[in-house]
Amino acid sequence: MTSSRRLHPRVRAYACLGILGVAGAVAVGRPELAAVTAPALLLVAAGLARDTGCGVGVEVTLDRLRVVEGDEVTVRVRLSVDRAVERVDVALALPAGLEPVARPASASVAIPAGVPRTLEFGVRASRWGGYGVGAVTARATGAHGVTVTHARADGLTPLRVFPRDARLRSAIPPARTRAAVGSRVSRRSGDGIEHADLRPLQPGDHLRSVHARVSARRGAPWVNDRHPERNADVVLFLDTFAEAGRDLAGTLDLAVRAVAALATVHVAARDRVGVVSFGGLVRWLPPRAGPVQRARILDALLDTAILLHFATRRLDRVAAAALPSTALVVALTPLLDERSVEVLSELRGRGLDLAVVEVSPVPFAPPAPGELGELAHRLWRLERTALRRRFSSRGVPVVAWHDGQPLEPVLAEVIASRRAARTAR
Amino acid sequence: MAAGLAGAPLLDGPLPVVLGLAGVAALGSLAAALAGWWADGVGVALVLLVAEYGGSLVARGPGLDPSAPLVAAGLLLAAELAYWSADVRAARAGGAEDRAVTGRRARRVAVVTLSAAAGASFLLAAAALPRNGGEALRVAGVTAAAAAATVVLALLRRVR
Repeated sequence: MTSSRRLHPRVRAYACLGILGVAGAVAVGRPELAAVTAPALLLVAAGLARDTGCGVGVEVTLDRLRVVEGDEVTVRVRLSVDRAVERVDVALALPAGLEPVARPASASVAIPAGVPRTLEFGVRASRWGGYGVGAVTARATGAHGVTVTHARADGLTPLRVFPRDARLRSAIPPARTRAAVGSRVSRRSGDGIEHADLRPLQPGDHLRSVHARVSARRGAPWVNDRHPERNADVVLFLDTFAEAGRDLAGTLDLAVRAVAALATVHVAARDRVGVVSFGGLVRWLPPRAGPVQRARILDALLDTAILLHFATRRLDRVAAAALPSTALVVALTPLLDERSVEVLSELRGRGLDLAVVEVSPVPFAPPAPGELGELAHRLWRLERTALRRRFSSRGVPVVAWHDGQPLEPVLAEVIASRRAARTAR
Repeated sequence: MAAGLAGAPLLDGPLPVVLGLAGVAALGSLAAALAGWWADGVGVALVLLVAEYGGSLVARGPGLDPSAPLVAAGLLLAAELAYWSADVRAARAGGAEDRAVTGRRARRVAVVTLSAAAGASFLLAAAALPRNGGEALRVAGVTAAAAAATVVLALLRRVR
């Protein structure tokens, strides 16, 4: 905490007034001038003699350190003074993304010496992210109104605001599954519930698999073949090379929300989920299963930011464990940076099962005014269409997701286009 | 209150234009200070108001002005109210103010105003007493004024 002491502006004004008035009275020989201004001088002299300032203590605590978007947090500011003061003005400064429930987040209070007082400010978390809360300034005016002590609490308490999940009913079904048990119907044959086919009995088949009627008709034992229930590896690939946005809304914001929602739905389906944040800063979480992994992913997402960087980034910067060869990779990208396009092509080149959700930057980048601006914007949109075609021609479905549109129908489109691509193959 | 102080000297009769201008300038600087444009505006307004009052005294001629205590009280009342307003602004205006804070400040303003009136009355009464000291008394007065100013400056330096 830092603090400094200053004289109240009235002190200088009253002192000047008094000195000038008394001097003027002597100069022009009018005692009325001294009578009018001397009280101000006496007031300052008395105040200065008795008021030597005070020490102000400020402590900031939060009632919760982890909240979800839209939740309210109570910020408690504990104030203490070592001497009597006329008033203490307290103001809480909040970073963008947090807003006071009652505006403004400030108050003026009287505090007796030696008796701490706690003020409570309601703060609403309006956007996900990691914040530092606690920038409080206190301004204590001494009992005689002569000195003003400014104190500033600099220690910030971290507050984690998690994105509110968009509810998804279904996830993108992966093309390949793992050997572990899960909720997905595998394409392979084995022990399971879902009927796959009928085939002649082979050594090692369970007797309960024998299909009695078909066996009777064929004159030889035939068995039911089934699809086993398996889980899959899903890697959520977040492009952080560039973003388009206004204020706090933008493509990165949408992409992070989508990653959070996809992580939730895939974890619920018992898949192993991992995240790769690829951009100026490359970070990853290898796929793991379970709610703890979901919490880990959400926690990692909060620190996601665009870090401008001009170096080429290759996939070999990502640990092999973070990108298993059988994983379904769902990429969320605004397709704004050529490097992200190259990386996605590389992923496809490695034979990974890739689906691309294009977080459309178009709503955040309106055309410049004028005919040329309109033309440039049209050309840019055409280039983007050509880029999507390039991916489609490589068997990678790209579905655009616009701001304000729910994610569910976009995923349904991804699922449909993957099914169509598989049928065509 | 400031407008009353600026206009009061004009009620006694015509005054030099420069005094009227001083009053207008005082009101302008006070308005600028209250609007938050000029932090030192209150102090400048006070000095200008006193200058206008002093000028009116000189223009009026000999004889003590019995309204001086009222002027002293009005001057400090206007100043205290202006600084109250500035303090609220400095505290990131609009925040809830405790009743205790408002009450304490109001009491302070009242005490300062009444003390100013009482102090000015006392000084005026002292000035009205018959003086037989001649030049010696005048020198003593000047010395007392200089001593008061020195004490205030010394206290200011100590607190800084």
